[in-house]
Amino acid sequence: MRMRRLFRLGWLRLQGEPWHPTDEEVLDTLDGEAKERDAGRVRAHLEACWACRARAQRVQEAITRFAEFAGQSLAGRIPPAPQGWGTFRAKLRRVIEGDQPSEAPAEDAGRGGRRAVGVALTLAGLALAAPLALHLWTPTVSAAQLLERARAADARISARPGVVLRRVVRLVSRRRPDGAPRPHGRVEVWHSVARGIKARRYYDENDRLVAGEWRRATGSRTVYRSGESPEAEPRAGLTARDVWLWDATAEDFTRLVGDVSGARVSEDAATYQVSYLARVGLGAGLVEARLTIGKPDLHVAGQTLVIREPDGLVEYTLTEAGFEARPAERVAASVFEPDPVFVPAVRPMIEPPVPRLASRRPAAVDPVALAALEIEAVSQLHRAGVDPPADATLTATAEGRVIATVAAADEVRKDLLAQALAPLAELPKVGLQLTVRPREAADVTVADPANGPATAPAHLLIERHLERNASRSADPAAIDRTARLYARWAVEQSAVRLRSAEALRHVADRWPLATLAQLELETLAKWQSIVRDHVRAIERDSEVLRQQLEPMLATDEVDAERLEEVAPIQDVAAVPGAVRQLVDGLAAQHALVREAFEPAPEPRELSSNQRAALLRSLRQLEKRTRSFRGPWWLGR
Amino acid sequence: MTLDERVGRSFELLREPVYRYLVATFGRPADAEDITQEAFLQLYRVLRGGGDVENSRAWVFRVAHNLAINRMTHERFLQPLEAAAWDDLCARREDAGPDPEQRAIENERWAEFRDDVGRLSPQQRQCLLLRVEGFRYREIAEILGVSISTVKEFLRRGIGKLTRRPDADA
Repeated sequence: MRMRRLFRLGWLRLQGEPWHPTDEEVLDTLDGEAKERDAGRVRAHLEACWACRARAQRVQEAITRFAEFAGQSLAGRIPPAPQGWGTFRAKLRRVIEGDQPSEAPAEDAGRGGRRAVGVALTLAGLALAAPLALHLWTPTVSAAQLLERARAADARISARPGVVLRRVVRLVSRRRPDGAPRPHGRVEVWHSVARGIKARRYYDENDRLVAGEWRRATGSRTVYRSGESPEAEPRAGLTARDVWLWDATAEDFTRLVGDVSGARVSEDAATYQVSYLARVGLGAGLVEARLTIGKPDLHVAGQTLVIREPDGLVEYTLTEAGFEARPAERVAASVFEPDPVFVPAVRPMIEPPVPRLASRRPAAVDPVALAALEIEAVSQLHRAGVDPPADATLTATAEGRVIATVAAADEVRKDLLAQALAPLAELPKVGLQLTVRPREAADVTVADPANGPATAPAHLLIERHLERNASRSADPAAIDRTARLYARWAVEQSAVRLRSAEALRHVADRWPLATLAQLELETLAKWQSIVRDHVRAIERDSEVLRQQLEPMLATDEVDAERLEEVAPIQDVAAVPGAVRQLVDGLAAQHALVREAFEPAPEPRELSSNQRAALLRSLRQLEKRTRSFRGPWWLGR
Repeated sequence: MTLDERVGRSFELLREPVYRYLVATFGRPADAEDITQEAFLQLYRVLRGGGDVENSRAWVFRVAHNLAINRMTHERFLQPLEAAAWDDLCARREDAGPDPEQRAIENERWAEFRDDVGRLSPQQRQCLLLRVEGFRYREIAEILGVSISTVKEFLRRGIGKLTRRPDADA
């Protein structure tokens, strides 16, 4: 700012033009915010220049009038506090007597990711807690607070050094309303923070190991099912087939439910129960969820999930049957390895090397060479239009080979893929397995726009936009139908980007920076090219969406200054973080789009706040994608 | 003085300005009262937890503002003050004086000013209201979670609108 000012001064002098302070400089001076030297120059100028003095006078008058307005007129119109502040003492007493001190000072909480996410979550939790505590429920804790504390309690136990956690959960289902309980076996979970791995095994009611999941701290994840190829797909919404994949924890409960502001808390002598009832038509199969949390230590004892299946409602109860924290040295390393029943000759490669085990392996695999091989494979797959994790899975063998498992939607597509991936199959040390797996239904389900009374919250907005732009008076029924189609298009267009985002995150997170730093430049450039491709795809689709939605969302409440500045990416080290922000922003934006453009069960109109949030999100996302454009430094 | 007495004292002193700011910014007096109280409860929790609050006045405003924004974002109980409600808040004014001619002129000027105030964006309004409360730019930036240059820009544009500068929206 100062440099700009000096430059302007110098420029004006060179041109021989008189200098006049800008509005900003005048305001800074009047407000006592200017540096003394600058303020002195402005004041000296105001004494000499009538025009600027008049301008400063107008600014001063505006300030005076606004102060008068705020101090007298506005204050006079604001009603007194409805409860007369009478409840504060009682609330403070409750906090003094029963509440725990906040774990993080709320003053650090901010919005828009500008400050630490954890702290923001704490404040968000507290913000969510306030209305619930005040409006819905009188005890001392709300659902959001309770879940946050239970999550923190879990995290504290997990983080204890030198400890491995083992938890056993029994799974029982019951058809609603009066079906008999049916046991489904047990889920055993081993979790080591030090190793950064959580291994989950699902045993059926006959105690046979039928499935397993290996999840790493990096977010990568591999699921094995007996008789099927390993999958590395991200965890989808809750389905009956995947109930065993969800932990009975506050963290997973929050993920399942999404917005916990609708959850209720009840309690008995020993436990809290957090209950959530999904709105009709939402929740991807989840209808109800209930979490039971023990009072003394906020440890989760069980969870009940009610899922809508094609033939009715089914209730799944997950009850903890065992929980222990074992010293790490007393836990066999094999519990963190996928069982031979799933992968006779192949193990997932994402696992970081464990030094203690290295000597037991026949030959240490060079992680850099393996990464180079994998990047080459991903590059070839990408050229054929196949991107992990949605379309393909990469696994590495103990000998340092890479197996690419590609699922085709049908036999015809399989043949086409075999041709397209021939170069990949010819690479040394790379194996290709082509399977046929029909695609699951898309995540986005939108009702037939022509049917049903339900309309999207943005429906009226779209109709008005269409009417404004119609060349002649249009038939209301036609406008209504077009608005419905338009809303469905918006959701679909938004969802298109999720696949690119998923692939982008996979490419950005799969290889540690330390490994990338040791790659040959040519390999690193291939990796960069894949990242850029995915970002460009997101940018293109986002631009189309913004161009279509912007005219109808237009609101003067979005100032450009509210958008966060996004620094251009300078080097590889900045990429994973930038990708995470981009993908998280995209996911949040998609939720906003769905909220606005999917038919709502209850008629409601899109608020100006929602419009502004969506518009801001659209603009912000494009800023983020543009940060990838520059030439990043690939050198050492 | 014990901690709860200190917080109680701060509450007595600051609750009205915080509450006024919240009502003028977000509306909903009942919510504004809740949020004001919650902000002071937060202050107590943080101080009890050993937190260091250097400027409790700006701190409470910031927490109250963030609580309101979060409540608005997550629960949709609270919306930015609608234009009509803002107009209604602005409408009343004490009579300008006994002289009918002077009163008419003053009322006309006041009506113009009220129109100008109605053109302020919520962010401009927030910055101006906080400035009237005596906060410095740095404090306003902290309360709103924006940069100082953004505060300056909001104020410049806001003042521009109040001085009827045609380029205020630029």
